Amino acid sequence: MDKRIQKILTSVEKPARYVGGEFNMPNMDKPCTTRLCLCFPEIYEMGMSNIGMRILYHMLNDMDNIICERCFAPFIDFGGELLKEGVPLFSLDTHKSLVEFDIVGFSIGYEMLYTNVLYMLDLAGIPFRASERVGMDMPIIIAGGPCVINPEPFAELFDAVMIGEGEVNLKLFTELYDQCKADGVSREDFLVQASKIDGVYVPSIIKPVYEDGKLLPFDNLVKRAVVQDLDTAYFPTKILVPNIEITHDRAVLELYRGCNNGCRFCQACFYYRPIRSRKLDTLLGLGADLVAKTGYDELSLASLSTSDYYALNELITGLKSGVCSSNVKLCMPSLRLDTYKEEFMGKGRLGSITFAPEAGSQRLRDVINKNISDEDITNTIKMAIERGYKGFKLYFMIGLPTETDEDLDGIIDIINLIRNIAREFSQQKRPINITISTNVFIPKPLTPFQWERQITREEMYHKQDYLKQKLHGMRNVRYNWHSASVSMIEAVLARGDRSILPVIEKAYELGAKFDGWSEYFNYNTWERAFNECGVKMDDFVGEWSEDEVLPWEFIDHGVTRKYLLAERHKAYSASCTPACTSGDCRNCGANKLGRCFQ
Amino acid sequence: MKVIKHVKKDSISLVSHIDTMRVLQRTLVRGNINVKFSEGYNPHPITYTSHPLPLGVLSTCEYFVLANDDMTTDEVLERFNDSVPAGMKADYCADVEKNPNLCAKVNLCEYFAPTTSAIKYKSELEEYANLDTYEITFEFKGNMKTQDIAPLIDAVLVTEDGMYFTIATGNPNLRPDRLTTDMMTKYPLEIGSNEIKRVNQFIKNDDGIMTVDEYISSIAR
Repeated sequence: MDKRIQKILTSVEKPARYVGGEFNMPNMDKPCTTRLCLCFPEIYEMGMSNIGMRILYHMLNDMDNIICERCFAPFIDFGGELLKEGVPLFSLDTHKSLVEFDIVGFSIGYEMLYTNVLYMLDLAGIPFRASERVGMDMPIIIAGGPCVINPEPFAELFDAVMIGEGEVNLKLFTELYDQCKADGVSREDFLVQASKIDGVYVPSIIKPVYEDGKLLPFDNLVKRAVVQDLDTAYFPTKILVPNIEITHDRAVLELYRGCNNGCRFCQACFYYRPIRSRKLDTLLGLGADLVAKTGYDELSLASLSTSDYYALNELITGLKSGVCSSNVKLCMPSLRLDTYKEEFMGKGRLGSITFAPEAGSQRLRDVINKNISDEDITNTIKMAIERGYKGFKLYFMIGLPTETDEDLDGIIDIINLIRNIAREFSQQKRPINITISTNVFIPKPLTPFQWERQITREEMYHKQDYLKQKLHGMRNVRYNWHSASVSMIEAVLARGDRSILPVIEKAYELGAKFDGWSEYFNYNTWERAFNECGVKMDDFVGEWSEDEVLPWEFIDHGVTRKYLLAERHKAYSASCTPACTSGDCRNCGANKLGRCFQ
Repeated sequence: MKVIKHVKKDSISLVSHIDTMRVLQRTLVRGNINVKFSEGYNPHPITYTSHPLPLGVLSTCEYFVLANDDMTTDEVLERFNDSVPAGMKADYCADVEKNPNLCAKVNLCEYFAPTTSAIKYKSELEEYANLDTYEITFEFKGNMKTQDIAPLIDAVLVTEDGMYFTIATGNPNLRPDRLTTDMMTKYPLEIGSNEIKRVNQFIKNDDGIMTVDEYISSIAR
């Protein structure tokens, strides 16, 4: 290791973040013709918890002639030292600087990470925009992850953007690169060839065209790549075991992709369709293998709505009588209120239980298609209190379309319901603790609410203050709320077009990074960046006409515009769409990318 | 009980003691090494270690004790080495009747700092072990602290390759990097931040001094 790096490492917090050396590290000395570095624009503890990173890192390293390394955003102290010592950002696995790789890929999972992408490129000495790298001996810079639902705000940073599931498009992209490198194909010609792969978007080829300020419909659509058969899809069990504690420090079993429910605010629900499950036996085998090869003493289940997995009871029973029978704990994620069963609840000394009703009133829950009735809420709360849970954590959204103060009163009604049931049924002397968290609704792309406006910051403050006032004096009730300013910037970045990139660059220049961390986010910096670039935030958070072409509509995500619009119209009459599991297919369009419910 | 002597080098030397404990416990699960669990409300594997190593210091002599009586030492050693991250491989495994309680018994550790420039200041550096009183000031949890380190330095030996020094460990304790940092402020030594290595642990009492290896060997079954 470079002596300068060694010197820096002993002077920063948690140096193990930057050096690798974890158990199960793939062979970095194998014969290799193409070398990738997967970057995650957050710190090690967050990035290593990301299941997508885990899958792609091991998948690429299992390919012949390919070596894949990792790089996470250096925390402020380490980043500062790198700049001071003039050391370019390097990979964890073999400590190579990023410019030495053939391909550098960023996984972008949250809008507030955009400035961290610039931070990492800056530390690596890589020019930000793809156009600035033409003719330079620089790696191919690519992006993937959930934020590619609308890649336009950051598209021009990248040579290519992987739309959809990396097991498919990233694999093909890497194979093609490897072949083109061997054949001596130019960078430009390689990108032209790559753009023909399903799920590969080359921003220098597909460009938005505006007429009178209006975006014109796109000629070519980029089709999202999806894994056709999840049951046989690559899923690593010999995964890296970090040497330091990470955010989700446990083995994770991915049950299925997609979601049956169709909550109208939820981007993940529509993006990850079609619904594809792993078989029960496959999961039992993977679970046992994961624990044996990692030594984790916790195994958790991951999916968008675990209680909707078709054989959840059998899976829990199988895991509890197998790999989780002794000294390995099975961790359940938060589950839906309507499908909660007693057997999912914990045993022994119980703490708190988490649910997300999302809206306080039945009317508003119908608007957002959260198919949970007041009766579901009452029954589940009663069950949890009788079981001995000491607290409830409840997640709600504020600023949903058609929301009024009466809907906010519904949140208070749910709190009172819990307190009343606790008084009647709780065996404990101690009062029940209730924590309420509210997030501000963001009309995200690829949802039925993508045309909606976001409420103004003043409205956000009003709603938060309204709840604070109503909750004032309620003992054992805590209220947490998400920052209005962050929500506003997040909405703009989520819905933006290519005009947003100069703002992101300016914000970074003015000092913005780690914007997902409340202690580092500075609204004034962003406001200044918008003003200096002459871009109005209001242009991106207001309601959009249904006739307008939206910036991300050059991507065929499966679910159709027609379906999303129909869902939007149903929302206004508070009419629900039942989950896909009941009755016929709703024809959302995802089926054309791959078969649902294999 | 089994006592495993292992090294701690390369990137693992940058892992804190508490994280190292977690790494070792996962090693036991991966290696299928049986270990008894405590019988409290939250059962945990019964394991012990020798004195924590300061972050960034390497070692060739770390000791890890686990409650296991039903496997042979060879079996434990083989499984441990198959399942531990690179940089923590074990040298030997011994079988002892009960926890040797190394944290309470070990009171001296020998370190090696590689530096070719130390030989020029051999007499001055070796004199550190003969001082009656010698105060150093350092930052501790945001505050400046003064410590008389003279009674905590047992021996200093300078060779062509570097400097060996034996200092108090446990309570009282002297961090090896605090001593070398002080030396570097006085003499132009080049000791890398991640190059100091713990090479021996000692038990010193009224009966004399012995290495931990000798002690383990004397109580091994």
